[in-house]
Amino acid sequence: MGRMRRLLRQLWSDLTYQVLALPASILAFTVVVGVLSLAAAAIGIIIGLPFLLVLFAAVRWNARLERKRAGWTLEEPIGEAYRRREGNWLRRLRVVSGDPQSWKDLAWLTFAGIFGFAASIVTITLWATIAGVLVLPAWYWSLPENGPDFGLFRADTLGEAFLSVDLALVAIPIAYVLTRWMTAGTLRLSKALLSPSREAALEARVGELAATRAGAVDAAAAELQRIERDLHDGAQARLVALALDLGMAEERFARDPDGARELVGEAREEAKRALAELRDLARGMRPSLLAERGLGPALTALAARSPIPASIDLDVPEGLPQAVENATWFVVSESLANAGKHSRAQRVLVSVRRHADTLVTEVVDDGVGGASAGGNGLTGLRKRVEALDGHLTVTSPAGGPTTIRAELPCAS
Amino acid sequence: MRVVIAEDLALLRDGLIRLLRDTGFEVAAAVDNPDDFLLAVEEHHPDVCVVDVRLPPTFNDEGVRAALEARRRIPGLPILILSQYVEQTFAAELFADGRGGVGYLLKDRVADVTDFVTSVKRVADGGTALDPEAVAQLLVPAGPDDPLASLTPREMDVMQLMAEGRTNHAIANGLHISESAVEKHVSTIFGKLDLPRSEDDHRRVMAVAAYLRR
Repeated sequence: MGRMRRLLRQLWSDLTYQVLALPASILAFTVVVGVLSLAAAAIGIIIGLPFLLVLFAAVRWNARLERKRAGWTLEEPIGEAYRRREGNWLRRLRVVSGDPQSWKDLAWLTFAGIFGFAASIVTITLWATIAGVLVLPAWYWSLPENGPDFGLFRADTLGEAFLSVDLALVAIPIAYVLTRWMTAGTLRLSKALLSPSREAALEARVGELAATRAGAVDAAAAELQRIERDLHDGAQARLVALALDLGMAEERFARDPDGARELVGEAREEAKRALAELRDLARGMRPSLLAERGLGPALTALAARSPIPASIDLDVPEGLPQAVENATWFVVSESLANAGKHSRAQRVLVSVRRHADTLVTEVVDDGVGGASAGGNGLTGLRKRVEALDGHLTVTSPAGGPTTIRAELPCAS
Repeated sequence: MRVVIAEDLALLRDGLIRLLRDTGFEVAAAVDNPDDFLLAVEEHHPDVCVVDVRLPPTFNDEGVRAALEARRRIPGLPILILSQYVEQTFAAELFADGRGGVGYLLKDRVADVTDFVTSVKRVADGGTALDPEAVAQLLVPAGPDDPLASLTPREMDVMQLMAEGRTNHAIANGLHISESAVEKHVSTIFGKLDLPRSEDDHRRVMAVAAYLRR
């Protein structure tokens, strides 16, 4: 029984394919005839050449449709690989016309338009006839006067009508084999012509890998550069400042012990901060609170440490990309530090909110303004933000207020 | 003495301002980018400039390029470059015009206040200051045939200090020997390296620097 079911399923699938082949082959025939005649006209005149690209595109579109149709019956997708089209139209035309797949597509469409059409007509007629003959006795019974005429034979009596049913039953296996043979042959040819050659498939894969690898290398290089910047602007600078403080203290001890002591105190603070920054860098290159508690608490802690009283307004979603969290933290940290050094502000407001797919960070102070986007470490921040496809804007008219706004894409 | 500072990190800029003011310099301007630096230099015509190698926008060698540009506009303008790392190319570019008044020091040197201030003053006076580490990298003999290999350890010491831009007096103090002993060593070194002799400290340093860069 399982064998019978398998045969029926196969027949159903073949018949569907052949019935669909009727419109598909008409389409393919139209495309081929249209493309060839238009191409003949276009080649004659120079200005017609760019139009060839459109014709190739039409062939490609139809071939894609055919891949889907064959893949559906075969129950496995048929891949595609074309050479990369780049540059001006002439170079693209050269690539497309030099791509063997373009011509294989055209060959398949021609075959489908002629033989596919024929096979579809034969199959449909064959099975329609068999179906008709099988119900001939019923037909005869309902219209006995002038018996059904098939051209080949006429059923003039009920006996003849039943005889024809036997004939139809004999014809079924033959029709089945014929249908199978035509369908399988067509499918094999369509797969051979439409799937990419081994070479083309490998070529396409290599292109894909090269692109992703270049992306990964870029990302790694950007990350290394970021770490180097963190070191240079952070711990390394603090250590230099610390050495400088100590050097000045040493000079001063004899003539101004109190001043010297003050300098040593400052040096100790710098040493502590340098240590903290190094620890943060070492710990997964992330500020420790950010790694342990997430962006919200890390920002709150930053605001609490700010030399200028800072209020904070957070609506930070969970599960932001790490790079976005890091950048946000640095934007806030650097902006607060700058405000503390230069703005002479009384208050500063930090807000981090998500608007659609963008995380918007704003640090606004009521200070004297005049911050330049080109200096004060703001360039470093900009680089960091832009590396993530974000934007950093600094608005700081003389007299204030200063607004530093970072927009970072954070689509999850 | 009037000085213009170009350093993008506020922490270090403030530190340098404090250090130089503390040691008797007048800080005419302290800027954080190359454009402002060139403007400040043309406005103030300082006695010496202290410039960080890395300045915005790309933080690569903007400082060196700004320094070269400033010296093109004001020939002989004394400039001391500060750098986080020793990069021979930068040093070579600075010393290339053969004029004095250039220095190339690691940032770490600011810790030795007296030494650092001496270097700044030397550069301001048209002398040179080349970082000991940069000199040490240059002082490695290329092979057994390199005349450098024929110097005695003591001569090497003198050569190192001389290349850094120090005067005979400073070399004598540094090595705890007499000045006449230093002069003798210098004469021997010049003989071994086949360099033209000169009493002028500055030309002597340039000869040594040129020799080391060959």
